[in-house]
Amino acid sequence: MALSRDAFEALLSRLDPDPERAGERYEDVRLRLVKFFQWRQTVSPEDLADETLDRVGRRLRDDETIRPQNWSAYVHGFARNVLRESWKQQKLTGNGPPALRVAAEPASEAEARERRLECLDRCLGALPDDSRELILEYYQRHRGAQIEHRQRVAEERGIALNALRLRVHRIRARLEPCVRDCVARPELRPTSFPEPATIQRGPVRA
Amino acid sequence: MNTLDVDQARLRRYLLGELPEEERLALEERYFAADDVFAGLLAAEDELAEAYLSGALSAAERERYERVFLSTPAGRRTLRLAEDLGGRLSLRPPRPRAASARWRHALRPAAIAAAVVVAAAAGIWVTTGRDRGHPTLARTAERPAPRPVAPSHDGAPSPGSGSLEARPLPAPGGAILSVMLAAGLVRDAGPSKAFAIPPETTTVRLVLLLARDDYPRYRVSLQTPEGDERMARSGLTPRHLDSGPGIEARFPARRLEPGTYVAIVSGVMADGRTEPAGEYVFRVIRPIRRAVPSPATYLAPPDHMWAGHDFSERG
Repeated sequence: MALSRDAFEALLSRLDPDPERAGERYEDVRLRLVKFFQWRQTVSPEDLADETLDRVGRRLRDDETIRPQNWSAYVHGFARNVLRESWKQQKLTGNGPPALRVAAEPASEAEARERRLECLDRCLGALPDDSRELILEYYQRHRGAQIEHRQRVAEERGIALNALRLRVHRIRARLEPCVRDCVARPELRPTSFPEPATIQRGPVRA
Repeated sequence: MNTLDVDQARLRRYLLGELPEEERLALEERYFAADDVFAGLLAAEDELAEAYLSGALSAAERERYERVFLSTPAGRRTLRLAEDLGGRLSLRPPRPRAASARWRHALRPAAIAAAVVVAAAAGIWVTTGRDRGHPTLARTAERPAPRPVAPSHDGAPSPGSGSLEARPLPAPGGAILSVMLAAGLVRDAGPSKAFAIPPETTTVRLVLLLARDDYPRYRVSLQTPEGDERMARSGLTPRHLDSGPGIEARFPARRLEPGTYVAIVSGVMADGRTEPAGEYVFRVIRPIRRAVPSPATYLAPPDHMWAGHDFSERG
């Protein structure tokens, strides 16, 4: 699902008056939500994250006095409600995950992997250069010395290791749906990702 | 509030769904509120995925990991992405498997389940195999390479103790053929390197050793000798193999018809400009099934004999 436009705009405008900062904070909150729903083993973490953000946005739209100090914590309350509802829904629909939405399953795992790698290449190619370099560097193998390697990457970029992790996972959060959509619909080739500042023109429904 | 308050074991237990619900909720409140707790969880998730893929999890942890992370499409996608980004070969979990004394001796470690054929001509190594229902995953970085069994005949640089990984193959009904080409093989510099692609092969993985690693990214263009591009891979990052720097590119086997190919490697600079970084000529020939594998070129169990190839055919 996508967020309704008015809820999305209400949320962004309240997160930060600067559109770029608001976009970054939005991505931060959304990543936390996606992970929350994924770690809780829901079937569609991204949909539930967007449902949560939609509810938050609508609440903010309806009550302009709300100014949470900690946005993530504020959003967490909504997320728990959405989680509970999704559990109920799963029980009603028979508990099982719905059929995969992948349109065409490839014949073999090797073919699937080949297609995934092609899509990964395309999606990586659509990322801004610095994001692409960062995520590839982060995941480069280093013979069991992964933590030290990542520490070095963080130092080279002048940021803390935790900040590096958050940045990398934000990039992943953009990369993952791109690869998924590409695998399911190869005719949809990614061209570029929206930058945080332009995200307002992104995942909204009219 | 920081990650020091939440030890690694607890984060791991949360991710594996082992914390009581009350503790789960408490931890969730903390990671929603604090960046470093959340970053600690992301790190723990990465480490779990890497441990799972490299076979470092205990049997109980592996089972738990599969139940939690691989039970949903999103969890599987996340693991696959981590695997693909890290250049790993298989989503399948490692299952230790004893090898026969012969193969244990020839190929270490014992869990290697792929066949290895080393071409008589130096500069090209080929590995292949197929899934036999005992999925394994190589710790490729730690695996010693098989030794070449024949000396170089053409003056091409030998891979020496290079890291051609005899990786296990992930594809039911399919196989990956790995081919290593040494750097410095140029057109018109002697006979091209030849190998056969067994019929069940789905993917050919070219490992191209680089003379120097001067670029952050590389592009490989697979062309005919006439210069027609057949396939290309871009955005390739260099890997540091035992033999030196190299890049890896995978191509669908069905699109590699018998014939001569030139893999042209370009280094991609930070501003997007490219420079030539090497050319590798090889020839794909039709496979010949041999009745008896030759010990000189064949180190694999009999059911992998498709990898065998009579290199006396080389022209």
